[in-house]
Amino acid sequence: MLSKDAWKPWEPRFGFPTFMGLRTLASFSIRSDFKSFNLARFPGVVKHALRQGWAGVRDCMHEYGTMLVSGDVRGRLRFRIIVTSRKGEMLGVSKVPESYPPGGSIDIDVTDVIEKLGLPPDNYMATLVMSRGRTDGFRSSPGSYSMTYIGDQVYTTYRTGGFARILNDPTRKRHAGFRGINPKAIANNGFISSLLLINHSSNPSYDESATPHSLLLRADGAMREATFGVIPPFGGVERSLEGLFGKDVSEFLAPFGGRGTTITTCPGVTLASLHLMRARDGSSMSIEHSRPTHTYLLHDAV
Amino acid sequence: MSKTRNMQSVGPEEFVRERFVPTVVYVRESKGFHTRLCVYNYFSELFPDVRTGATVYVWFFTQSGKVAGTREFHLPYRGQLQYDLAELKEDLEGTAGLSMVPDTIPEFRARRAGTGYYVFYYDDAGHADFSHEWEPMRFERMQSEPWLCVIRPLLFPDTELIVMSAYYGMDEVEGSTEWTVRIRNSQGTVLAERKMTPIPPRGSIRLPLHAIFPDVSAIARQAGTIGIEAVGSNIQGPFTFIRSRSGDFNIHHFC
Repeated sequence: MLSKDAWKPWEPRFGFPTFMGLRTLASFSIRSDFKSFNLARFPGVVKHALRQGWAGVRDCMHEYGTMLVSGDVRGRLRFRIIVTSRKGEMLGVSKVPESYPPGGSIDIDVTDVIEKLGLPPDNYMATLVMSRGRTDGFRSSPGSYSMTYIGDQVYTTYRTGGFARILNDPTRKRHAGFRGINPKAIANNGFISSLLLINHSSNPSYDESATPHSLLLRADGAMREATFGVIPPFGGVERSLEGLFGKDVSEFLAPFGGRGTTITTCPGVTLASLHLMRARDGSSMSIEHSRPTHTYLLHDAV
Repeated sequence: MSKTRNMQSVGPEEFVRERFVPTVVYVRESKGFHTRLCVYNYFSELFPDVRTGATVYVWFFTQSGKVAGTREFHLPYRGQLQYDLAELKEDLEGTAGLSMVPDTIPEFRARRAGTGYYVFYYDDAGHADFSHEWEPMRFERMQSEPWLCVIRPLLFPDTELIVMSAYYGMDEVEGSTEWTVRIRNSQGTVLAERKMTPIPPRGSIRLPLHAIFPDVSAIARQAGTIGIEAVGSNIQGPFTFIRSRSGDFNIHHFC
């Protein structure tokens, strides 16, 4: 559980892991056409708030009231970073001192932030919070965060957006469940894949653990199953294919070049999902977020 | 594999089947660099009672926008595909458009549905990276969003920009791509700007950052944090291709 005032309901957030031994950089560029207040979209904002009932209306009034008072209507954004343990325990907050206009960019050395908070080298979770988002239903961030991990040998980056939509808050919304599919899973002499799942929430008081279930499918239909393990609230847990499906998983996948597909599910909650892959000789690392497949059938592609 | 052919007479009817529009990725298969397309028949999970198979359609395009080949694969219920472009037996750099159409078409809300999949890149030196699919093919002219992304030319001198046409329709004029690249500082001020050479419909380009802005390192030294912005007509959200000094690399979209 985090402190109750860790963020305002309308502040887009984005959570990501750090890895011990790798320098973590996080950057964000604010699209030059960003407006924190968009008159044309405002009726839609009100409609969305009304659909959510009193809580939605209250949050909307609070959001636009503070926007007028703070002067954020000009579109400048402020950022702060919350550091937690991989178990979701709050460890510290660091505010970025300046504010940034549309077209501007921030570049944060997260490893430096962690050191300045007096925390020892370890695997952590971090959440970047921005002061305003776009005036859409999710208050999505006007651009994507870019997470870069650098070691002596490895370098990788992934980019994705922040949102202020309601997630894992049983008082506001019920989720059907999480399903993450990774058809590029690999376990052979050269590489080993892993999954990193984050039990996030829009409610800082969220206190429910998640226990996902994983399948590893081979191209011929052969399958292995595993319990992913418990992910505490606001925690992030990484499991390799060997940790999940057995030390002999490379042999299991060997007839197909070490390739397979993992399907991870967790009813009743939604999780953030990252796919990772590391070269066994330490020369390469890759990371990417997964996308929920059902949304392709819900939303127009063009 | 079909031979390279001109696409003058091909439009949405070639690509969009049962309202499934192909989504596009950057691909390269040359000089020790390889690409693999990774797809799972997720209709098996979305509609488990139907237990449907699905057909994966793939079109490959050169950087000049010509079709370099097509492929079709049928995936059974819970089937998967990891297709290495090495099987094309020829060098290729450009894009691939991929759609997956279930044998039993479900009722679904989207007027045009994209396809989710991943692209896996690797080189002969043992480095690898992957990315999810990117934008759907478009058949009408569009103005791009002002994509903006932090770059670090001092830390990663080997930074390249990949830009792909968004237009896969028939009208070569309507599909022309005009675009501009800018460098902005942390407060949004434009420090440099360059109008770029048009990209043909269905085409793509990969350019070293130093070829676009020869003085980008000097700009970064002076300005500190800088972002690169690409904006124009008929371009997809751009990608960075960055190779670190150790040789490990990353390909990722701006936003």
